[in-house]
Parts: sequence; structure tokens; C-alpha cells
Amino acid sequence: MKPLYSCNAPAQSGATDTRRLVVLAFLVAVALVVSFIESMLPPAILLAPGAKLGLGNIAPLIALIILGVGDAFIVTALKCLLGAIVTGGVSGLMYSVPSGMLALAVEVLLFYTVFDRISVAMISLIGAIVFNCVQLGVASLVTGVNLLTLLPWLATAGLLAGAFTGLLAYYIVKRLPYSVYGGVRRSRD
Amino acid sequence: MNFDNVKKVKCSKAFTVLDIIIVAVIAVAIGVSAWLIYRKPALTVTVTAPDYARTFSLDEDRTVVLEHITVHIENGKVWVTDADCADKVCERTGVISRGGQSIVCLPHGVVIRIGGESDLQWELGR
Repeated sequence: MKPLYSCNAPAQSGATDTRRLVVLAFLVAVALVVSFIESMLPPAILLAPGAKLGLGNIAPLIALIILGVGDAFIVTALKCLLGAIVTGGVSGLMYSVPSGMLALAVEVLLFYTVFDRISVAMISLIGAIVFNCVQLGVASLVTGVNLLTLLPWLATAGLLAGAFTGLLAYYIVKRLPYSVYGGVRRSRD
Repeated sequence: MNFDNVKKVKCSKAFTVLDIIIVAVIAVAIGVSAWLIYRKPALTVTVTAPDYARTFSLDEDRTVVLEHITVHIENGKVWVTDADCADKVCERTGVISRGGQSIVCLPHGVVIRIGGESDLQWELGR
């Protein structure tokens, strides 16, 4: 596992650092726009109240894969914060921050322990279920209402949405050429 | 850029065998929790009078004839007829069917109560 951050560690190279910054900002921007567009779509209320695809959650997962643990947490934090500012629902931070962070923590743990035996889609699936469960827990605490009845529905929604977004993230990382990740171009003989 | 991770993901499969097992386990867990949460709790009807106390199942149809009162249990509903008191409050209570509801006849000291797990406790907003 790569060390998260240390103050004195020298940057690998100027180019790598810039690329990291650009990719990080790009992921946050894409997550914000995608969540914003998604919020305009009709909600999938049939499955569970408040259930949505959560396409924006691809960003932390991709950040975890191509950047690293620390950057994935940064993407999540920025996504929550900027998302709250963009949509104007600052109280939404109460729900999005704990669930996003915990889901990511679980994903990090899974990625660095059992990845390859379970796929990226599976990691995302479990993360989504954790996300929904934490959100339900927070909602129960905030409203003081026992919302446990929604758990099976939200877990099912998380299962489907998580698998979908996970597959998407997997194919994005798989299909993008190495040059995007800063792979060194082979010198032409 | 974490090149190792990218390489690992690029070389990984979209699905693995373990995935299918875990999804099956999660699906079963969701099913069981849904069953636990949504099952109808078994309700009982307790009839108590000064010299009488018995508990019946709400699901079994029966008629309990007491000295001053007749209790009907039918189709998950309970009501009282043939009360020989003056006020007839118990008869006018009507039909009860949910956990926690009761019919009381004060003149004869008869209490009919639907007990067991209350099915109201799982309702949202309560």
C-alpha cells in the first residue's frame, strides 16, 4: 500500500503531480455535474423513497484506483461539500459525509485486501449498500423515526446501483489507454 | 497516479466466482431481514372476566359465550354481542382487529384485549 501523505516526501516529478491535480479536479467536476443531471431525472421512487443511481459515486472509486487512498477521500469530501453548495442543501452534508466516507473506507479496505478475488463491481456494490445503510441510520437519528422498514428496499437499491456504477468504473479504467494515466510512451526505434 | 492499481484493475475480470457467492449471500440476508421486518406478528385475544381468563388466537374463528356477554372472534376481528348490561358500551365499541385494541365491559368486569406484538409499532411516523 502506498503511504497516504507525508509532509516531507518529495513529489515524484512535476509532471506527475500536475497530472494528479488535474485528474482529481476532473473527477470532482464530473461527479458534481453527473449528480446534478441525475437529480433532474425522475426519482426511482418505485424501488425505495430517495433511491437513485448515484452515478457521482463513480468518482471516488476511480480516484481510489488510479490515484490512491488519500485522493479518494479528498474527492469524496470535495464532492460532498461542493455538491451541498451547488444544490443549496447544506443539511444534506449530514447524510452525505458520513455515508460517503464510511462507504469509501469499506471500499478501500476491500480493495487492498480481497481485490482480484472480488471484482471492482463487487467492491462498489458493497460500498453502495454501506452507503445506504449509514444514510438510513443517520436519517433515523435525525428524524427520531425508526426507518428500519426501508432497509431491505434501500439495500436492494444499493445492490443494483452499486453493481451498475462499479461496472461503469471498471470499464472506464479498463478502456482508457495507459497514456491517460501518465504511462510513458515507448520511444520509437 | 497509482500505476500498479490501474494495471491490477485492467487485468481483473468484470465478475468473479466469489462475487456471485457474495451477491447470493446478500440477497438471502435482504430476504430474511425483509421477512423479519414485514411479517405479520401473531396476535392473540385475551378475555378476562372476574371468574374467567383465557387467551385465544385471533386467527381462529370462535364464539365465546360468557354469563353476561358473548364474544365473537371471526376473520381476525373481535366484537361483542348479547351484553345484558344497561349501557352497552362494549357492544357500541364495535369491531376491533389490531394489536393493543380492547373492548371493556365495566358493569360485568369483562376485558377483551388484542395482545401480542403490536402491529402498529412498525408503522412509519410512530
